[in-house]
Amino acid sequence: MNLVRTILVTSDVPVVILLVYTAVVYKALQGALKVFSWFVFFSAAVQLISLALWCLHINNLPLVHIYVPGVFFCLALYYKTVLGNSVNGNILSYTSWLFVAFSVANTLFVQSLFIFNSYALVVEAVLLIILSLFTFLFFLNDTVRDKGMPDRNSHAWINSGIFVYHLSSLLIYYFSNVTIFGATAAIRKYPWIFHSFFSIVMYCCFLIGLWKRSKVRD
Amino acid sequence: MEAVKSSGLIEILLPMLAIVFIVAVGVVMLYMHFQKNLFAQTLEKERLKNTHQADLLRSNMLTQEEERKRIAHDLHDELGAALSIMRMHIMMMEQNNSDVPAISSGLQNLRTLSETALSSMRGISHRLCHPSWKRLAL
Repeated sequence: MNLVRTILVTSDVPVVILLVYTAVVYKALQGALKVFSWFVFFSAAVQLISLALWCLHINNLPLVHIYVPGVFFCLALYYKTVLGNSVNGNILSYTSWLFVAFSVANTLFVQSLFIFNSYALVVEAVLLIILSLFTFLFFLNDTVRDKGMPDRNSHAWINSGIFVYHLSSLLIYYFSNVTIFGATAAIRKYPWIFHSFFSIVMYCCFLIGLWKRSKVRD
Repeated sequence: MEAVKSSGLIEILLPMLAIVFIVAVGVVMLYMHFQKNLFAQTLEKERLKNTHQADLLRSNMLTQEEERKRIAHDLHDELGAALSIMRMHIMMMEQNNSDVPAISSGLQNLRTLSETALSSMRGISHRLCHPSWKRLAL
């Protein structure tokens, strides 16, 4: 196994650790963290299947077309729970359903199953960046601080992971089809090494977030 | 030709990715710094609020202590003096009317009452200036 392959496979290690940890503490999780755990299960399941297909030299691009709307749906639900009454819940619900519809339409009519769904990924990343920035502002709000939101530190870590990953990966998504199909085999893996690094950072933030949750209820 | 163009794009893309990542981490660190500052500000605000409340309480107690002292002195100096003079006059009247038993007995009762009033007044005055109050007002 060469170095690039090792790095790409290593990026799935935090996913497995997070999956196991989330499964262990699942019963103790409450509120938004419980919703977040659904994202972890979905994301980990798709990524592990994707890794297995990659190892078997089977094209795993169709999985991305399921992964993108699924992840956005889970994260929109998570943000809806975190932000509570600060944002009209209908806005997030409509956005997530519209995004799912857009993603499906994109797969059916624009970017087929065997092409990277870069448009959907870019839109997803932009929406999640906006949501995460809004959540940062929400956490800095005087009312929220005075009221004392439970597990705020955990949500701040999770939100940071989402923000760093999606902002850093935005350019990779935008140029994904060029980098996958255009460049030579030797060079086209480099953006994905960066992507793996960003993914590791994100899952580490998630792990810290879940670890730092209020353990009074456990 | 297409592969060369794509390779060139990736060569530009990689440093851009590093820059964007640093910016993203910077934003998160800035957020954490803000949050820390806000927390410190909240703590400082609470501390100032507590100090202000303690000052108010202390000032309130000092005012109460001053008022108690004033009342005690007024009682002792004015009412006490008046009662003492009254008692003295009754005693003089008692001496002058010692041969009339009915008046003497009435004056004796009056003297006893004035002495009781004087004693009660001294007790109240003393309690108003009790050392425990002084300790509290420190």
